Amino acid sequence: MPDAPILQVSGLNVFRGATHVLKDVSFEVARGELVALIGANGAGKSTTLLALSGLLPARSGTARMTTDEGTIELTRASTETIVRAGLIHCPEGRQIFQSLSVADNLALGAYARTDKDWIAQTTEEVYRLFPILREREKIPAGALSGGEQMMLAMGRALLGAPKLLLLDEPSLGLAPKVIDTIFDVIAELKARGVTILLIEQNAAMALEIADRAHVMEHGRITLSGTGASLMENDRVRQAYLGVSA
Amino acid sequence: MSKSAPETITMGTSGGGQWLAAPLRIALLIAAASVALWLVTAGASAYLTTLVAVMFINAALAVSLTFTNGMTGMFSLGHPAFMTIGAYVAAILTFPSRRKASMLPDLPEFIASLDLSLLPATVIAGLAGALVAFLVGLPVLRLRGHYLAVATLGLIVIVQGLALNWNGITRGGAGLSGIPRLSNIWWAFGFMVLTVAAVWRIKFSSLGRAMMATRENDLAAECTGIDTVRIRMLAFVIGAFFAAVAGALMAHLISVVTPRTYSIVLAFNLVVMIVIGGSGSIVGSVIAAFAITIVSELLRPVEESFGLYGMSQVIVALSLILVLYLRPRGLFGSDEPAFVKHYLNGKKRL
Amino acid sequence: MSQYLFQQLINGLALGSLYALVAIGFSMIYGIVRLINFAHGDLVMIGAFATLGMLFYGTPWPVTLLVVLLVGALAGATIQTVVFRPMLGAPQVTGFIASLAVSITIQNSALMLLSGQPRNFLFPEAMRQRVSLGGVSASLTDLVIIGLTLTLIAILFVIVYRTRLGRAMRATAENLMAARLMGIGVNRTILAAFAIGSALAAVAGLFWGGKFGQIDPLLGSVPGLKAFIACVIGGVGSIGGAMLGGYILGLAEVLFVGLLPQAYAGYRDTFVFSLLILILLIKPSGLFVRHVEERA
Repeated sequence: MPDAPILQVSGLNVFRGATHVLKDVSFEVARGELVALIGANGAGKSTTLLALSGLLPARSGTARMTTDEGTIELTRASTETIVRAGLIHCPEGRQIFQSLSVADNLALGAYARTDKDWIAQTTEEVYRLFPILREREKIPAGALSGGEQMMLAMGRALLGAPKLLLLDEPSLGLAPKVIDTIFDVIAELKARGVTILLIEQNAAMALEIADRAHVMEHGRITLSGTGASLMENDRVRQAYLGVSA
Repeated sequence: MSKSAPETITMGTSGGGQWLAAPLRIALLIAAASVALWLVTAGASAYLTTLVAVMFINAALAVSLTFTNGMTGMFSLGHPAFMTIGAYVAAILTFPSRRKASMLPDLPEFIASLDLSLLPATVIAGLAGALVAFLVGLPVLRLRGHYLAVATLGLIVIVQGLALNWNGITRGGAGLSGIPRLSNIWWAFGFMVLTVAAVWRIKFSSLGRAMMATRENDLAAECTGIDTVRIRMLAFVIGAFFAAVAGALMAHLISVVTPRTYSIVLAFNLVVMIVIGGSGSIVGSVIAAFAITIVSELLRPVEESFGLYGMSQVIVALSLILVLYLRPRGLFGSDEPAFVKHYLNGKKRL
Repeated sequence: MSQYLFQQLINGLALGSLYALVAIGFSMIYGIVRLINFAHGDLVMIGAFATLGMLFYGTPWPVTLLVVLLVGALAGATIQTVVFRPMLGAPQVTGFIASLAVSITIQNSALMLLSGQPRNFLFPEAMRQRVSLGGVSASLTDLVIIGLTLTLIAILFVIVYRTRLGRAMRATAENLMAARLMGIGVNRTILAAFAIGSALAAVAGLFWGGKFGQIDPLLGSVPGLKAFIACVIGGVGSIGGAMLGGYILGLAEVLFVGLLPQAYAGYRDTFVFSLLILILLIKPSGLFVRHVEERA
């Protein structure tokens, strides 16, 4: 079903402990789209991704991922199954394996893939995209700089053969020049047809690159539209783009 | 904890039933329990009397462990080490001096010439335990979580090693036997009442609240001005005092103590008692201690007739796993049952 | 080198090999689930009795070795599935108490089934000779223990550092959430760590019997605690550190007994535990850890 949206989230409710974090969240992501989720800290953006990748349980609601191989219900599948189906989540703060080498980290990205040739080819590609990683191949990942770690995280994500890539705050803590590089890579991925769900506090860059975007506030989606239209939206401009009234 | 309570007092009703002042109610409770105990001992065999005495001492041990561990959230397994210290110190002090000279040649002269009765010997034993706890605690209490647990386990091994090897003072592996049977069920009962009373008073005082605060969140407690280091040390030392006294009383009850009498297994059993009763609950610890002592004893003839030594221990261990799995907070969590609180504390508090 | 010193050295290395095997398994388990597994030592006992059983039936040595590895792996896997897996999210101390409970259960069950009688366990005649190496001699048993241990450890290193499973274990030990996001089946990976670590401990039991000649159901407590001490010496959570710690502990014990007057020999365990407490206080992450990285 090439026209079905790759992700359909409907009425998702997620609790963290006793706190109701996601309240009736619904949205869709079409194939090849880049959808951005923007909003303040604590709005529930990261929680959304954690629920989609199966790390947090959902109290109610559904999240369906549809690929060429079929449909799976994300709220009822194990993370292992979800990752094998092609949902790759690049979490907040990178979460690379600090004591393992760069090469090991990349190899782990391909853990769920079985085609050795494809793995070798893609690893080569990652090294071409991020030449610095090839230089640091044998070095423990913890010794890399913030920007290099982000590149490693993205390379690792690529090796998971993502059909749907979840990116949580890729620009966090990075220098502006590095951020540019990262977003170039994101654009390149999009050009190659990878569907991306992006969370960013840096709303400007996110909206620029997004096809569609949603604003999350206090666990609900309060505003939706194309990236361009949200950039024009007054409320968004005031709250998230730092433009005064 | 009481075997019977006077029917005339209405329990569980807030405010209205308090027609006696708190201390009088407590005295009444103890008096009633004593009468009940006297009735029991009047007709019971020596075996049963000793069993009940051991049960009381176990209850006191459990309560003191819940005080050290449950209320502050630290995990000390050291009680048996302090029991060993208390037992040996008390026994050495109460031995007639001529026996001391022949049995324990390396004992310093001034101790060897002493001939104490049980009460002073027990108190000194308790203080000895407390002192060791203080000295050990200074470095060791900086550890947290399971590291502290292992360090205190190491303490048991170290004390056992000392008792085993310091032949001149402890008679090594043979231990001390023929300890005068100076303590009995009334001593045990009194000790249990004392321990429960002391720990109860502390629990419902500002010190107790500070301890609970330490348990919940060290950092937050420090921020409100609570000296968590001092509190943990206090809990550790007081707990050690009670453990040492328990060891002393036990030694004079069963008349023998060896280096291996109070071991890691005992530490484990005490932990089971407080987990089942609820870590931090006094009533829970007492109930669990009673239950486990009785059940273990009931299972002994079964063990013997089937030749399955160790069965009761396995059952205790499996019970723990089950409780951890199904109801980790135990019987009462860290709280006390409401009607007991009403009865003993008076107006509604905590 | 004098005969006496050489003998003590070999003795210490053999003892160290035993401790290293148990410590490595212990460290693998601690590394992957942060659990101090008090029952780990009892796997040594299980391995020793399994060996005894097979010696009884005259099983050839290579087969015995394999069977012991399998028995250990199975025992460890069972314990993990039944007791520890349900407790995965619980506080540290809960797991530790549970492991104490498991240890007591295993020991007392063995007591019930096998009685407390120590059993004699003798390697065949051929193993009990001495071997001369240019002027000094050493016990063949000791040499075999050292050799086999180093071989097993080498195999383990290959598994941990060069295979997909090993990578998964290291990842899971380092960052559980990220490991899950790689599509690693963390439950299976944890199970594998338990199985492998337990297999090594069981083999240590085989060696233990050969070295000490006598086994009984309660023999597990000693290696269990000493494994922990070895890990603390060498660096908690590190396999290489556990190995190093095991050998250091073995040598230290032998030297302590060998060099001090006979009267103090009984204080050996006291010495070892005091050492433990000392290290826990000064450098709890282990003597040989260069620096403890603060995770951001």
